[in-house]
Amino acid sequence: MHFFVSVLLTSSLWWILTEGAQAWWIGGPAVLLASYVATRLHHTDSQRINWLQVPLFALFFLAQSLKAGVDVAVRTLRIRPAINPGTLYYRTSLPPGTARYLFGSIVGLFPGTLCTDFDHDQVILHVLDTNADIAMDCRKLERRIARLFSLPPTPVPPTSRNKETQS
Amino acid sequence: MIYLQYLLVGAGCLFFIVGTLGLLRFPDTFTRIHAITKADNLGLGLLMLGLLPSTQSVPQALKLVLIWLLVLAASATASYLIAHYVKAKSPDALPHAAETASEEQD
Repeated sequence: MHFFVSVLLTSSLWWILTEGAQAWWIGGPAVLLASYVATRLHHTDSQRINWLQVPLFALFFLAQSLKAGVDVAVRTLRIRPAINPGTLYYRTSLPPGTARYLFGSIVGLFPGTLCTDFDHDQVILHVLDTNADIAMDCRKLERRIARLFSLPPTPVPPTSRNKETQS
Repeated sequence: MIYLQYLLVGAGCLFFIVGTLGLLRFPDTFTRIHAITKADNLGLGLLMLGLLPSTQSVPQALKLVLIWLLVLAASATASYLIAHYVKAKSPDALPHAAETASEEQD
């Protein structure tokens, strides 16, 4: 079942990429291969995206990408690059699985954060400027992702290494 | 409309240049990843917006948007993979935890 949905999706992707379905002798095998890989890699967790929430999340994502790009551009163009790199051990309330991986990927496109590793409930982030309130931004993203997956918001136990949860 | 397009495409190119500049100016792998992913993501987005009004068909417009989305997904994944690799290879490469780093700062 998953395979057929995947074939349908990748076929429409090919249709868009070739602007009206051409060169199926390349597209066909590519679609089948991609669907096979997708099916093999598909892991079953109970986390499903609530598609009604997608437009709102997309808007939030666009605003943050704009902020991230402008932020890094301003820092680059200073005479001495205005950075103060550091590491943030961020405790996440998102359950392991799709939601947490999405957080790790997307946080890399948000202002001043870059995911380097997952360690139990902690996400190890490289931050561009430790003076900025990164944990606060992460908390916001986390809440948005929780809403995207219709997950119940869970209270986060404070840790000594997480600025935001201390206050 | 055409002037708006010029503006968007121009701004997009500017962000690409700035991203590359960051790649050259920033001190280590992590900070360079920051510069290139975020600036290029925005640059390509602006470029795509600027080119959208010039498309002749719906598949063509969809293709532009799709290219952006694919690059977004690729750069988000690649930035994690590179950062993860560097961290795994030399655990000392990451700077101190945020709190200590900000305390040390003058």
